[in-house]
Amino acid sequence: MIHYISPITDFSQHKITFLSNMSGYPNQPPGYGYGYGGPPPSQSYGAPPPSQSYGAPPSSQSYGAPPPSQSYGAPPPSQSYGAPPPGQSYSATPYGQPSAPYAKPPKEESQSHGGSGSGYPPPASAYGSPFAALVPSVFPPGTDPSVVACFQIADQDGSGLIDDKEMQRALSSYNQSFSLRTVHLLMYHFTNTNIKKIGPKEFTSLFYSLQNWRAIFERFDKDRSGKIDSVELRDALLSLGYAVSPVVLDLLVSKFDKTGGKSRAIEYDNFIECCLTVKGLTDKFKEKDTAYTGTATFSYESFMLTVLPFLIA
Amino acid sequence: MSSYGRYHSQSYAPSAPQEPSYPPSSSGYSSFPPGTPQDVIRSFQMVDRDGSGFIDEYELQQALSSAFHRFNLRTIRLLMFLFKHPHQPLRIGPNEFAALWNCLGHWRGIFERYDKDRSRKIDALELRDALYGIGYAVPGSVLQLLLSKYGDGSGRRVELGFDSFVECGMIIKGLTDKFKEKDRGYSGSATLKYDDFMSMVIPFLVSYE
Repeated sequence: MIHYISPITDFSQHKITFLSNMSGYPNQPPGYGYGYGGPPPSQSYGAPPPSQSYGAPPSSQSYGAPPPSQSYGAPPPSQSYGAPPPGQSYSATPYGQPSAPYAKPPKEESQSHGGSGSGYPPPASAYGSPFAALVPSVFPPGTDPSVVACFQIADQDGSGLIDDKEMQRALSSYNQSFSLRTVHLLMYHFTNTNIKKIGPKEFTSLFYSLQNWRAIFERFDKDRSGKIDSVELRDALLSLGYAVSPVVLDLLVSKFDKTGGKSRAIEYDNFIECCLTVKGLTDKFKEKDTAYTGTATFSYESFMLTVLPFLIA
Repeated sequence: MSSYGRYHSQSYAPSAPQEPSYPPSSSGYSSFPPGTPQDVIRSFQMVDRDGSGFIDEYELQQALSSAFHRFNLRTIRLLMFLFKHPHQPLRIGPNEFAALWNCLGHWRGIFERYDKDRSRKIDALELRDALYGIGYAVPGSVLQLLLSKYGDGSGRRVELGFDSFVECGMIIKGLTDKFKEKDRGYSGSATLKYDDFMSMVIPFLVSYE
């Protein structure tokens, strides 16, 4: 049970509410597990209270809900999520293996392969199913108009979706530099698919989430150096509910230090990347650790499919 | 019956290596192992201008360019991370340099053997065959996911240059070998502790653009 700690911050309740809205997880009993690593809604930026800002309408259970009326004009796919998209079976691909030696957890398949290999299907095509995660994507009621304005500015081609490059430009304009990798991880975090486009709903969540990341970064950058060092990172991860061992902490700092280990500290964009990586990997691990024992059993294939999205973003 | 086939020792070279296995022994200054070819030593010394005995990522990029390929900096960083002494910052000494050089030589051999159409690129089929050829039967779903990360998003057929090929190869080989260490019974599945899971995965993060 060493790795399992309770979130120690006063905003843990908000955090759980926020994340269960975002990820479709049921609320967890208090005191459970690794905690959830999403940035808690922060008060300091004047974000509206969570019930409004992240408040998916109660009916929209994040993923898989039928699309409300005409958003994006996609016909509601009959098997929107979880079933292999028609015509996209792996055996049809040039490198499909004749028989998979391992049983494939269906969940993994649908999450990791929602869109891979098929480029960017237009929302209304027969490949609409990978977009199921995005379909109920309109601005939540009561969205701050400035978020809508940001979206419209970022959506340079007026497609109604923000792609990775658009997102990178938008972020870099009023923050600092953001690598495409950070952008991809952020997008993966909010869509759980490889599709590098997000709609208004995900954009809104991402907008507030970034404000919270900034707040967390500043809160834990105690010496105001503009960088998070090893001790500060440990505390930040702890506050998010992740207790990583010194070995892992050391690996993280050396991986995410832009200076290649000279400063042994992490800048803002890499900090987000680092936290998202820890959060993503831990949450995936936790899905397999249903009994909360601190160990999880993976088949070889599910292990690879689980970790690869975080390795090469 | 496990799908990953033949077992190889823990190393990032695609075939049974002659080089000392990672991590290299010494702390502090290390020297070239006996029998290191002169061109390897020369390449190292040429970029280690200050004679410190260590080279950084830019110097490594320069050193490898002439003999192999002008690697992306992100590939260079991955290579350095995998080959450096665990407790050193991102820099490598002669011993590690020689091991890396040797390893890249193996990968180049594989690359050339499986680049059947001599396009200087490895496509999906060639990658599958190359990995299979060195003992790794990687499920199609895994290859598809891996390759999707190297696409430009246009949906065009993905082809890997040598540096991306080395990246993919080392990630697949490294992760698979680590997984196998935990799958003693060759059952095809492994039970991992959280800490082990994190420690085995993080070294293979490909970061930076």
